[in-house]
Amino acid sequence: MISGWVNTYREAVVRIPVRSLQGQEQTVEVVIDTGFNGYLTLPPGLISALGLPFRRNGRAVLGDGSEITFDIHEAVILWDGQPRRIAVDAADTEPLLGMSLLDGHELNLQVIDGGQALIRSLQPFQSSRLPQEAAARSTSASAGGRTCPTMPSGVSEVRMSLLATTLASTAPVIR
Amino acid sequence: MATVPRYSRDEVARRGDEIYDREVLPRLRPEDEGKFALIDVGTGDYEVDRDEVTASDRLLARRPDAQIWTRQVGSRYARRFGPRFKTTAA
Repeated sequence: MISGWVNTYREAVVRIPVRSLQGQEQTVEVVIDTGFNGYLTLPPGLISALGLPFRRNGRAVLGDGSEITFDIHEAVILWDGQPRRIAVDAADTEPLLGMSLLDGHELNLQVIDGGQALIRSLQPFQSSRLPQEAAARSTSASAGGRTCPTMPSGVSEVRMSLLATTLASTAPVIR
Repeated sequence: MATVPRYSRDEVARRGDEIYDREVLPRLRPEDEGKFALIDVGTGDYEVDRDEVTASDRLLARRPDAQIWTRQVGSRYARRFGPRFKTTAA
């Protein structure tokens, strides 16, 4: 479970550790934005300072309807205590956390000054989300399915099954 | 070894949209709506997945030198920030 707070500006904030290329962690305060369909935005200066590798480009439509072509980098963050590899959009804004990062989770907000923000996983880890196995999956396998956090290579099957058991016993069941 | 051409950001966008319309769109299924389509603008190769990182891993495994354009299926965009305007084809 990831917990944060709602501030006096009615922003829901959580702290996310982001790993630099050298493996050092920098904790970033990010605003949860349910109107943003990406994973995470970081300012270009911070992306550069952390050495996050560039991966691809995309087009974004902004709040005023204007369009911009932007850079997408990659980072490993600590998500609920586990390493997770995600896309990071370079954007000159306060860091935003979006719906792709929240996919498969429940978000609860107490929208009062000092209220609680909670993010909880809705499902146990699936071992098929390891990067080396993900490459072997067909696109049809993900049709209509929920996503689970992507695990970096090297996580053992034993640890994965222990995690799955723990999360299955604590996560709410979806009917 | 041949040098892989490096396209400008605008060229990546233009080529990416062209390949999306020509190659990706005709092969999409209803259940692909909302997934991410990642396109190698040099070769026209692409991957579609609900998780963008997964699609990227698969495409880069085949095309390590790919310059990649990202689209969300059903949209002109990869990302939306804020309100959705009814007059904009999003």
